[in-house]
Amino acid sequence: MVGFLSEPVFMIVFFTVSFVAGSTIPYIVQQKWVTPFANFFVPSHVLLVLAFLMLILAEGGRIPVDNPTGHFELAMIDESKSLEYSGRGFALVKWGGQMKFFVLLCIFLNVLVTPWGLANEQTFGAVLLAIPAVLLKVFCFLLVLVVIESSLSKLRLFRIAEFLGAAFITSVAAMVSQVFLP
Amino acid sequence: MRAATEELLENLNALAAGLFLLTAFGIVAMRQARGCLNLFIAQSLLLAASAALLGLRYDSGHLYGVALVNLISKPIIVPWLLRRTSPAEIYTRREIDQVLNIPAALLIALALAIGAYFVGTPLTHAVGPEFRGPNVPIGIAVLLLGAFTLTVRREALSLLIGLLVMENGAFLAGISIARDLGMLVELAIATDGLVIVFIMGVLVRAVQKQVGTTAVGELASLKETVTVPVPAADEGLL
Repeated sequence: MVGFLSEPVFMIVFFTVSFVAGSTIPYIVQQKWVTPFANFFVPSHVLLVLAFLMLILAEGGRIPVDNPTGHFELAMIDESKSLEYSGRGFALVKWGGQMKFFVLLCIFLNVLVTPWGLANEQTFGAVLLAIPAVLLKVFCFLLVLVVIESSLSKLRLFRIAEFLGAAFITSVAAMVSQVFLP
Repeated sequence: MRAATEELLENLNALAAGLFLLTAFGIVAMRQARGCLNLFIAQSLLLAASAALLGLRYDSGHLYGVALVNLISKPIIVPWLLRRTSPAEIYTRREIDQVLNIPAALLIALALAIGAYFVGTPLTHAVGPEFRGPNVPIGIAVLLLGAFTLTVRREALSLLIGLLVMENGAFLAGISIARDLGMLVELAIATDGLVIVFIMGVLVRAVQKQVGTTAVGELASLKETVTVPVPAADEGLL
C-alpha cells in the first residue's frame, strides 16, 4: 500500500548509488566507498544510507509506517492483506514479505553500510566465510531496528507521505551534493 | 599519509555540511516548536564540528575559536534564554501553523537548495582551489532555507529559529572563505545573536501576554474595538 509512494524514492536512491559510484555492480560500488577509507564519509554516501534506512522501514512495514504485529484491521496497512489467507497461503504471503525485507537488508548492509566481508574470490571457503558475516551484519542491524521500533510510534496515515517525502529529499540532497563537487 | 589525513578531514567536513543541510530541511518540515529547537541545536553542533575540522585541516587557531564560541553560545545559551524568556506552553503545543503544507514546502526548499548550489559552486570555483568544498553552496542553501522558514511559518518561536538558521548558514559559508577572521568579529557576531534571541524572546512573551497567542501570522489585521457611528456624526455636522 505504501509501495506506490516508496517506489519512486527507491528508484532515485538506486540511481544515486550507481551515479555516485559510477557503476551498478555491487562489488564495484562497495569498493568505491572504502578506497580510500575517507570516501566512507562522503556526504552523499551517508545521506544515501539515511534515505535507504527510511525506505527499508517503509517497505518492510516497520513501525513508523506500519505495525507488523498489529491485530487491529484499521491500523494495518501492509499486514492486513494477510488476513485473507490461512494455512499454506498465509505462510507464503508471510514468507514473501520477509524475503523482500531480507533482500533489501542485504543490499543495504553489503553495498552501503558495511562494505566488507563479501566473498572476494571464487573459492568454497570464501563463500562459507561470507555467510556468517552476512548473518552477523543482519543481526547487528536488527538490534538497531529494535531500538528504532521501540522508540518511535506509528505515524498517522497522512504522515506517511511526509515520511517518504523526507526520504526523497535526503536522496536528492545526496545526488545534488555529488553533482556539484569536484 | 599526510594527504590521506587531509582528505579524510575534508570529507568529514563535507559530511558535517551535508548533515547541516539536512537539519535545515528538517526545520522546514518539523511541526513542533520543540522539535525545531532540537534540530537547531543539532545544526549548531554540526556548525561547530565543521569549524573545528576546517581548523584542524588548515591549522587555523581562529577556526578553533569560532568552534568554541559556537559550541558555547548556540547549543547551550540560546535554548536556555528561550526557555527562560518565552512561555512554556509554546513548547508543549504540537502543531505549528504553516502557510504551505509540508510536502509542498519541502519541494520548494529542495528547489532553493539546488538553486543555491548553482549559484555557490561557480563562486568557489572562481576564486581558487583552496576555497572549494561544500561549505559555500550549503551555507547559501541554508541561508535561503532560513529565509523560506521565515516566510512560511506563522509562529513566533519558529520565526526566531528561522532567523538563527539564516545566521548559521552565513557562518558556515563564512568559515570556509575567511579562515583568519578576527576573534573580535566572532565574539561580536555571537553576542549579537544572543541579544537578538533575548529581545525576541521577551517580545514573544509580551505578545503572548497581550494577545494570548504566539501565532503571529494571525495578527496581520488591526482589530478595532471602538466603533464610531460615522453616519450619525455626519448628520450631526450637517
